[in-house]
Amino acid sequence: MKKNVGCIVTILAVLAILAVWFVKMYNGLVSKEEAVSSAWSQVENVYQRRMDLIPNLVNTVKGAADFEQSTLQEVVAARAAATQVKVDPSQLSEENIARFQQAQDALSSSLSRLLVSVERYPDLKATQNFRDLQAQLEGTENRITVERQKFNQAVQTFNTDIRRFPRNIVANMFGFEKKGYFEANEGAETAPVVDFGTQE
Amino acid sequence: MKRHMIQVICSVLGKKAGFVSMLAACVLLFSPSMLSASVQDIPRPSDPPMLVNDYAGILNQSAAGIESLLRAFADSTSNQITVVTVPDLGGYDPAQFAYEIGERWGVGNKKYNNGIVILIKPKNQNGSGQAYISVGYGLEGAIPDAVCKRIVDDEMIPFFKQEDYAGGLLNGLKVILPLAAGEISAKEYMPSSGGVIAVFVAFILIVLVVSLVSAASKKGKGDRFGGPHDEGIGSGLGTWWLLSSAMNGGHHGGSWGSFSNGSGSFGGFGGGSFGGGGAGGSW
Repeated sequence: MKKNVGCIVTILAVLAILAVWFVKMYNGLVSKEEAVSSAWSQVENVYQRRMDLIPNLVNTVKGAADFEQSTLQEVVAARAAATQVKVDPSQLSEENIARFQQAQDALSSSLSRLLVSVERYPDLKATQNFRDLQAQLEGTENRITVERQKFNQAVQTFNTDIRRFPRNIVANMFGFEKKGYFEANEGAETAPVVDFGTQE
Repeated sequence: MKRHMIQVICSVLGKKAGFVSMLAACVLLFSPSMLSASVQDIPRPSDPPMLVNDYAGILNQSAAGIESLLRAFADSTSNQITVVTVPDLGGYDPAQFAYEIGERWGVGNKKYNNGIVILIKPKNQNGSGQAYISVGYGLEGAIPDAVCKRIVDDEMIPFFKQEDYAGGLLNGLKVILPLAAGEISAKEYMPSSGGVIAVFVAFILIVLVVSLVSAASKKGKGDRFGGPHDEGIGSGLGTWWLLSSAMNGGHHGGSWGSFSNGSGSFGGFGGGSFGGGGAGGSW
């Protein structure tokens, strides 16, 4: 009888330790998933910030004489399309992130085409209003880069965690799923200029 | 029986400890690689940390005065403004360079993210001059990008074009300090001294400008001055000297240029975070 009691106590103690361990692992995963979600909301914020700047930009540019309408319409259309693509923080799968990125990148490229064509309108470029807008747009693009990078870091931590033994067991049990990354845009990275002429 | 139980517990605990250390190893292995980019290009904070890091050597003897000004500002408002000058950006975009400094050094308070990085790369054989103001998350509202752009273009670059880097920097700070002081009011952070801050900052700025002007006018007679006995209280430089000595806890160095080296660190950067806000310009 005494021996049995001892056995039960041992088993209970082991179970208790395992349970604590389990709970800790689970909670660790939850907080890492939460970090990914909050990084995502920052990403959405900065993209929204860009969306909010566009009507102002379009109006400013519209005022310039004979500004080509097609470039402007392209930006407006790309903005409208990007507004449609929303990703719920609980559905950050690879496909959803890719879809979001595609829509936003289309807007990025039409925006940069607009800014290139503004180069041909020095009067417009010189206005204080446009200079302010340009500073805001550049700052927003920098914020987008930063928040995407922070999001990718959070996702990397999370994805590594859910695949690592023994957390993968807990992750499988509770349905933690791998999250998508932002891919680096082609040509969008600022590559340092390498001058081969001076290498010799 | 009891011993058996202890053995089991110990072995489980041992496994747990092993697991913990495995995790720690993972963290150590993975965290640097995530931040990697190319860490060696971004300068490290000096040791002890300073708010003015004149790696390009363009601020000369003004560096110490600006350091004192920024320390006084950090003490009174908790906003940390750091100035970094570099001879070369190592292929980085100035925005990215300034952001990386802010984020890695942790400029600003961790709770309020109220740091500012002012990056200056002088015009030299490595290319055109670049100036950038990077603003921490907490000050983005107080100093929006368009304002940063105007400060750089209108307040700083005209001086930088004439290679008056300290003058341009001070002219920019004249706008940045009051702006930054408005966001987290001193009331939130230090309940006792509410409206005094603006007056204090204005006072410091006036004293600093006067002292720099008088320092410049005395340049012909030599830069050194031995101590409080050599200067009347009425002289701008003497007043500034007394003020800065008071702020540095009565520390007395030998000359104008050396006292900041002797005054130690300002308490270090606070772990503030940056989101890519700010703006810059080139000349």
